[in-house]
Amino acid sequence: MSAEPVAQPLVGFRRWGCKRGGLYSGIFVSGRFVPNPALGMVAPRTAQLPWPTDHDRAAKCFALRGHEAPYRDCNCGWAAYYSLPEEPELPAPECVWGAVVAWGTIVECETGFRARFARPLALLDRKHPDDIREQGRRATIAAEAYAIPLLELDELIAYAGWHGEVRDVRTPP
Amino acid sequence: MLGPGPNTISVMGDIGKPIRETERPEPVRTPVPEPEPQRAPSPPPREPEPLKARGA
Repeated sequence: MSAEPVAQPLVGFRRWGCKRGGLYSGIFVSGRFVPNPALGMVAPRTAQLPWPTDHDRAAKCFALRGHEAPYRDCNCGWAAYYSLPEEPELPAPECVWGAVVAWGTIVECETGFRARFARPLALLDRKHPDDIREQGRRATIAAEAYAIPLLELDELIAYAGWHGEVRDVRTPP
Repeated sequence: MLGPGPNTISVMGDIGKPIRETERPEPVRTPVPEPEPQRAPSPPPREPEPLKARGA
């Protein structure tokens, strides 16, 4: 598949695990956040790094026979959905939703994409009631650390639209 | 909405099958607005001077 040139960056929505102002990629298992399990399997002693606050970082593939990310037949690359669910779920107290803008090589899929570069644009002003450790202030602290706004759902979608193409595709619940 | 019940795995990369591959330009960074210069605090309103008692 050869990459088709498109004149605009692509905008999407995703969730992170948020700790002490850092946004981490990972998965949510039984109500707990597990940062980047692929990296944990390949290099268990490697410190997990949050998305950078002051520069852009190319996505990496942590598969044993790695390749440049994103790769069509892999799950690597910075992932995001095309649209934000009407009721974004918070599977764990660490969960924070937000908008990203993506560029470079992008594998566009049915309900979202995986990109070589992506940067947080804004965060959703939503807190988990069980967030005792950071007292429901995770998104606020992260928004300050990344120097991005903390917005209500409708405002977040509108704000994202100023920064690139928004694809109108339903996100699975 | 809170997350699903226990024993569930929620993965960000579940975004369906690839449709196409694109190459897109880097976005222009939105300039961060400079904070407004702090104004010097205005002096407190002056109390009216008491009328001088006229001499007898």
